Amino acid sequence: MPRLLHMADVHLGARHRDLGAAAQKQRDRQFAAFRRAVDVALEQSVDAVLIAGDLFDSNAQPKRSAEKAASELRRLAEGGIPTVIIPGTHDCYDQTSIYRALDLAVLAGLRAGDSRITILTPERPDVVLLAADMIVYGRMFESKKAPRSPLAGFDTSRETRASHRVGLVHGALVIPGVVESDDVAFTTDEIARSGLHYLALGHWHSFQQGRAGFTTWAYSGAPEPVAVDQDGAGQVLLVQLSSPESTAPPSIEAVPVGRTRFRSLDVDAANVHSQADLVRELRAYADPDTVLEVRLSGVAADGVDLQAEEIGRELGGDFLGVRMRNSSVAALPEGPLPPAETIAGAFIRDVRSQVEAAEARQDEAGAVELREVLNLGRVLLDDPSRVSLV
Amino acid sequence: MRITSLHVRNIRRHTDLAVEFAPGLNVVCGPNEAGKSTLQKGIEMALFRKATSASQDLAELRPWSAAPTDDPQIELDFDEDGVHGRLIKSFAGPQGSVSLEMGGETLTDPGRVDHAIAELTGLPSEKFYRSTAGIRHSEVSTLDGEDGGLRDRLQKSMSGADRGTAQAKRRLQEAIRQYRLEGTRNHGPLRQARDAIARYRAELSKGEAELQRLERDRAGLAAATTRRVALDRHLGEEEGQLAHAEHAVDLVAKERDAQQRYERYKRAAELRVEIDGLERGHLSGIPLDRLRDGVDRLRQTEFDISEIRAELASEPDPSTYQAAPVPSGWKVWATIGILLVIAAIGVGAFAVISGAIVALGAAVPLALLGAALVIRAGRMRALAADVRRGNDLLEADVHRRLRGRSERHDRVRAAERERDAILASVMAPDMAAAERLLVAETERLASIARLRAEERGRLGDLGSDGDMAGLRDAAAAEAEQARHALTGLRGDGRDPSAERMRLRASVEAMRHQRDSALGEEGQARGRVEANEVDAERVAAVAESLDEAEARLHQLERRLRIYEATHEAIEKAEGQTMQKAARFLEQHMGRDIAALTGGRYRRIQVDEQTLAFKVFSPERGDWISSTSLSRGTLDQLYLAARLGLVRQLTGDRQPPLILDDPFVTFDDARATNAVQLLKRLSADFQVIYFTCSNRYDTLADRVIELPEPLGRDVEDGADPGGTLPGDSADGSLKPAVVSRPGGAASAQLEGPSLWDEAEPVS
Repeated sequence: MPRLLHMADVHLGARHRDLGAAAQKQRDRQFAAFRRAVDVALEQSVDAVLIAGDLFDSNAQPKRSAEKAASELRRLAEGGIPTVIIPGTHDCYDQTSIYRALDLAVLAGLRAGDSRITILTPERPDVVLLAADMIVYGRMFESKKAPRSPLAGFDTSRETRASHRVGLVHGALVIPGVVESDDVAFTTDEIARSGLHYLALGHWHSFQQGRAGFTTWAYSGAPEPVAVDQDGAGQVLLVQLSSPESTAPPSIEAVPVGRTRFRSLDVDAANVHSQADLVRELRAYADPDTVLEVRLSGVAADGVDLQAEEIGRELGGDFLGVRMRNSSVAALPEGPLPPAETIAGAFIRDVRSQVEAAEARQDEAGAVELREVLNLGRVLLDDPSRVSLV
Repeated sequence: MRITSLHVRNIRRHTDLAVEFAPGLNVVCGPNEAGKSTLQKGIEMALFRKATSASQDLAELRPWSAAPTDDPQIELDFDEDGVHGRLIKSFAGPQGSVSLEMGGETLTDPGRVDHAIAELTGLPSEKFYRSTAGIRHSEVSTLDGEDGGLRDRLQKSMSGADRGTAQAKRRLQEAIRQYRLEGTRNHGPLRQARDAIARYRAELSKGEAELQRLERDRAGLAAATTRRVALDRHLGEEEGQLAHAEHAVDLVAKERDAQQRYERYKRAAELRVEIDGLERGHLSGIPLDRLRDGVDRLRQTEFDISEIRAELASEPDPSTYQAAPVPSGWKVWATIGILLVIAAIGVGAFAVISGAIVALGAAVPLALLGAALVIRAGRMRALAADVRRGNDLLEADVHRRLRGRSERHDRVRAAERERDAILASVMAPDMAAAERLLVAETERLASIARLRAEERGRLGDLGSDGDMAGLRDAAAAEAEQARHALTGLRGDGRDPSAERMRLRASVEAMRHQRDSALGEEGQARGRVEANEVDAERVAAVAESLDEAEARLHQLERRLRIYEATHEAIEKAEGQTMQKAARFLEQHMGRDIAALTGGRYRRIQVDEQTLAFKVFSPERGDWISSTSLSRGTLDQLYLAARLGLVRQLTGDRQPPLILDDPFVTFDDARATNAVQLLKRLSADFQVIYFTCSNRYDTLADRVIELPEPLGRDVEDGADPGGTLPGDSADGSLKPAVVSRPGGAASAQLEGPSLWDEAEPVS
């Protein structure tokens, strides 16, 4: 029975606007994951490689990027493994499509139209892979936003050209109450009516699978995470199809290819005694493959001034990237206050009343800043050497 | 609040020390390292330190010889408006405990106890205490009379902590200045961030424009490709139609050709019939060449016969031939001659031998005669031979003639036989019949040849092989077929040639358009390939821009916070300083009068700087405090300093703890200063730590600490070595002498300080 390698959402050339200097490293890692996926396909001698959209992050990717990707596809072609690709939502098949402007087969050193690299488009909606006795359907439109469901009215049960029927779709599965709409959306009922043996999906960056009627569907997830909170990313899928006569579902095995991990830590600022302590504690998670996101929240301990940017800089060398999200607020003074007749007392009372006024008018950002004013003023009045200002 | 007693355990050298205090002015005296600082520290710890504090300095308070369970402990008894209270703190790090008993209520929660003590003392923190009720020994002694020094120190009291605001403000101002720095070379972080953003924005804008251009170019390429493909398709269709038209034209030609062939085959078939008829009409069945050959041979034979016969007729008769007679007698003559010769020879020989010359003359004629006879005999012989030869030839000729005649007769007979054979072979009875037969056959064959020539002419390149009728029918069918196909093609009724011409023009035009589209496609591809924009590079710029914007946002936020903090501090400073200035102006006039013996009675306090001016009646003008004598200035400062304590603590009257601030004063100056304290002690309990006994007379109670007997690590003093008197565990239990001071007999001058007198100024 045919074995497939299913991947999607490689997003070559993606922008990582929140990774700063680590962004280029992450792009390199995305390509490395793609390369490892090709290695897996060759090692496992699969019958076909399916890429369910968003191989490229945009249609404006340079020819050089396409050549790099094509050089990997060439390895597959030389190994006798056909590749079937559909455009996604980032590299959609509009007039600017990279697939219209560049011929991946030619870039891979093959002749135009070589059956070993197939881009499915509305003009060429399917391809029969004779060696695997399999037909692969690509369901997409010539626009980023689909005018209708890509699976609307799609039924392959009467197909006679091949025994195994596999679909490729890049879009979101409608899950009532969770995912109601998307640029490209389809339903489990439509999947069930498709008559496909396997539906290879792309668009969601985390691995998910399910069964609708006779059809097994799966999102492979991105080979390398493209953004935080993509815990299910980092792998490709090896899919072993069952006999067409059998009702047994295909077996799906996730093979890790990605290296980058995203770790999110929620830190209650109240438990942080000093910035140095926090840096020391965060350093315990040091890992060059990890992008660390630290969300500082809560009320900072009295007199502790946490500078997220400084923390990020200090930890930069220990992680692939560090993102500090400081939503903590400085503490309002507790305990006995200096008398109102003192400068500190007058300062605290004045700023605290401003904080209360800001909070009363629901100016949260203003209130947070005023809390910092209060904290900074108190620290400075208490001991100016405790805080670094520049 | 007034402390009535203090009991410390396990603090530095004091494993167990208890002292009692009077409500007024207490002087704790003792030599250096006697433990004054320990007692002072004990009071401060009891009032302001959390029992659970884990500060290193607390850990260092433990006597080095103390057992682990011997935690520092302080019991402080006090009186608050006639109500006795007891505060007990046991310092054991996180396990430390606190207890406050007062008015029948006991508090053990550290936070609540801190609140209660702050309420009782009006001192919310240790730092606040240090800047108000706690007066260090260097505070007054180093006062140099400068406005700035006075102001700073008083402002420190005002700050609410133990520092002034100047340093905080300076740091904020410096930070704000640094942030906003826009020098020609050095730029502050804000400017740097803005410059970086501007740079990244420009770069990104360019990059994005290039990317958009790439997308446009790619769209253009896709459109050009689509157009070219459409034209390819259209051209293909047109070429198909042209091929159709070409086919129709071919069919027309084919039909015409087939029709022509039909016509030719048709005539050829007719000719074939004629030829067949002629061929079947052969008279003798003998091929013409044989017939002609036969006739020719007949003619020759007849000729030969006639010729031979003519010869025979012309030849003479051999029977008439006669031989010539052969001459004879040559031999007789020859013999006579020979004999005569021989006789001559003999006579001659005789003559010679006999010498008979006359004989010799007879011999010669004889010899000549003999020779003539011999010659004659020879001639006669030759003639006879010629005759015989002639007769032989004649005989041979006759013989030959006879033989030739016979041969001719034979030949005539043979020729006649041959003629008969030829006549038989040509099946003609005679020569004339043969001649007629030849003429008839020649004419027939000429007709056939003529017909064949016509046939060849008709068929031409078609070739004359095969069945003409069949070929004719095939051509007819072919023509019919072409006509039929043509009928199908001529559905629109257009002329194929005209249609072909039209389509050829159309295809040509379409090819031109397609070539043009191909060129445009190539140009579009060239534009796309010439655009070297690197999306990843643009992405990196966008990412850097985001980072820079985030940084700018942070910097602007920090700057706003710094500015707001600075502004709020200035505002608080302004408010409090104004109040303090007015408070001091209202309450210090009488003190000034008392301190200066009535010389100055009015005081002005600058609300910005807390600088003092006193009104000099002599000059009729305000003079700066720096013009006052050093002693007056000390008192003025103390009055103001302690006045601020009153202002800042309201009516709570915390105990004032002084760490010998007058240590560098001479006796007169010190006495003046202590007199001020004495007056103050009516409202505040004063505890004055000193090495000197010069204040004893004004004290309500003097607590003497003994000389240190052993090692004392207090105040960082080098323990040196173990001195005599040390207890076994290294601790010391001093003998404290507490006695009433001389205050009972001392006469205080002037009214009590801060008695809510009417303002002087």
